[in-house]
Amino acid sequence: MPQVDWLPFTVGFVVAVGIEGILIKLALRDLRWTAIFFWTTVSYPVPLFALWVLGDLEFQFPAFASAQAAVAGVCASIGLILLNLALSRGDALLVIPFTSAYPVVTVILAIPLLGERLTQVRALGLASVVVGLMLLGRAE
Amino acid sequence: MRDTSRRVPMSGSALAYAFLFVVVVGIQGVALKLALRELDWQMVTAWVAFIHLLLVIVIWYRGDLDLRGPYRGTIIAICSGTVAATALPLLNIALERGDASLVVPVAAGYPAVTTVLAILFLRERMTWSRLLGLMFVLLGLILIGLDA
Repeated sequence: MPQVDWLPFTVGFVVAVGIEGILIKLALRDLRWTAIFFWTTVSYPVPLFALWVLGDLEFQFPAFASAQAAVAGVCASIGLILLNLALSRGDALLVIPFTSAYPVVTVILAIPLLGERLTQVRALGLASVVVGLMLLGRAE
Repeated sequence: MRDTSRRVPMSGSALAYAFLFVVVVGIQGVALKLALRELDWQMVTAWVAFIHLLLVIVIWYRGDLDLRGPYRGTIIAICSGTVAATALPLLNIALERGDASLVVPVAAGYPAVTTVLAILFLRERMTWSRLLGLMFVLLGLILIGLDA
């Protein structure tokens, strides 16, 4: 039986972030991106607070893993700033397709750092997603 | 009036920032997966939220945080934030259970959903490029799903 218990959560993520894209586009008609970043950030603690109330959030601070989680957070934050800087200096028509290539970096790093395998089918699937995203980006 | 005749579509600095974005967000997927080996997804979500909060404080300190605007935009931004706050734990749960080289490429397919919703609700046009893009993304997701 293939291990696909990650798939429902990934689909949930794809749908949620897909909706988020529309909402950001609507909100940008009235607000600057920093305001949207602010409201997104203040929304993050809401599910965490709910988890804490339900007793499902156990604070744990092993040094190395915490540093790795912090690095992920820094990457997410810096990524957002870099995207805005790139978009402010170049056409979205070129910037967005270019930035769609980031899963390639994850997959390349996952092989040595996480010991994951890159099968031919997975590589073909990744290439297809990246090409599709570039085409979607070009249409912006 | 600004002279736009000499404007380059993508300057060297734009390319540099876009390249750095690709590298940094690519690293993010691996860093999340590494952290999830020892921490549960709730704690990793808390760390990412905390770092975002620090960045908001930096933006506010620099005087770049401007919350003024019509209520309509603010309400939509709060809705957007709520959706983002739902998405982040979902990504972490998915990464906790599946390979980063499977989860991240599938998760990266979200612009396809945005495109479909933009056509349905924002009345944007369906072009051949978009249709082809959607088909490629779908094909890629199917292939990755088969590999899983």
